[in-house]
Amino acid sequence: MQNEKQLTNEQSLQIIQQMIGVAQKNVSQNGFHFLLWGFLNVGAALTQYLFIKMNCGELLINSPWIAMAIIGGIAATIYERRKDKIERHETFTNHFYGWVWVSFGISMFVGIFYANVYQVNMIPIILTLAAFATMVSGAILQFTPLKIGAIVFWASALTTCFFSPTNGLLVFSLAIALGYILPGILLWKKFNQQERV
Amino acid sequence: MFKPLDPLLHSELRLAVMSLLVGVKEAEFSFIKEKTNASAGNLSVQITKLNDAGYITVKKTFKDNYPLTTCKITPKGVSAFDNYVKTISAYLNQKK
Repeated sequence: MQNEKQLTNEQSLQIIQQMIGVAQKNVSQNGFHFLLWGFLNVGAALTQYLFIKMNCGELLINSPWIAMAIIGGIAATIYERRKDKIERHETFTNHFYGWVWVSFGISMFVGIFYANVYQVNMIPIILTLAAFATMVSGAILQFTPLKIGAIVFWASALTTCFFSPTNGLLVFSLAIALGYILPGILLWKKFNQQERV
Repeated sequence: MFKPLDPLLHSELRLAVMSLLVGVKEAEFSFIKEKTNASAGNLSVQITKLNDAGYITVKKTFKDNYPLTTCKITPKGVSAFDNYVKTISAYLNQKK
């Protein structure tokens, strides 16, 4: 591309359209985090359910969530660092998307702290916060399965009120499978289809 | 009577750089170079002109021990780009 080439108005418009389109992707996220945290959450919830049924000690009962946080934290950090090395520009979509999930993480930490202090069931709190972040993500990415996933989370948060905290873990697992894993798989497929074109 | 086109933007490469930056939060020099198909020297000169006019900011840092230049459009740049697009649109509408 030359710098001082005399442009016609039509050429100017063509350059603008072409360059604006070049940095924008229809799907800017591949669903990695939904799949990672989806599988880890389901794994942790079902393991905890099993430990409760086996009458294990409190430390062992809570250990799946600690393991989930450590494994997920390390995997997410490694993935983001690698992605940062490859990507040489940041879109507004990815910028806002990132902040939504950072805010979710902080809110979840506060929610879990609150649930521990007042000894209340944390599952509805986690599901409500996840619903909020998932709905905003669905809107940012213009991806309907995520919006449906958020509705599943809200409905599940209400449903768990009618179950014991132990059985609530099963409702939680099902909600995560429908709200994170399923949209995550669809997003992964859509992203890879776009990359192949 | 039409407003004159901003001469700083009415150039192929500078317009391409601004059009690219208006759609992203920030972009690395290598990314802009690849997308505009410009030579490093030429692009560097045009980026300096846009930076001097206050249309973009240029941040020089290091990434994995290599120098990294990142460009970002400023509010003044967005406004200039917006005016340029409006003026171009007015010219084209007049033609129809």
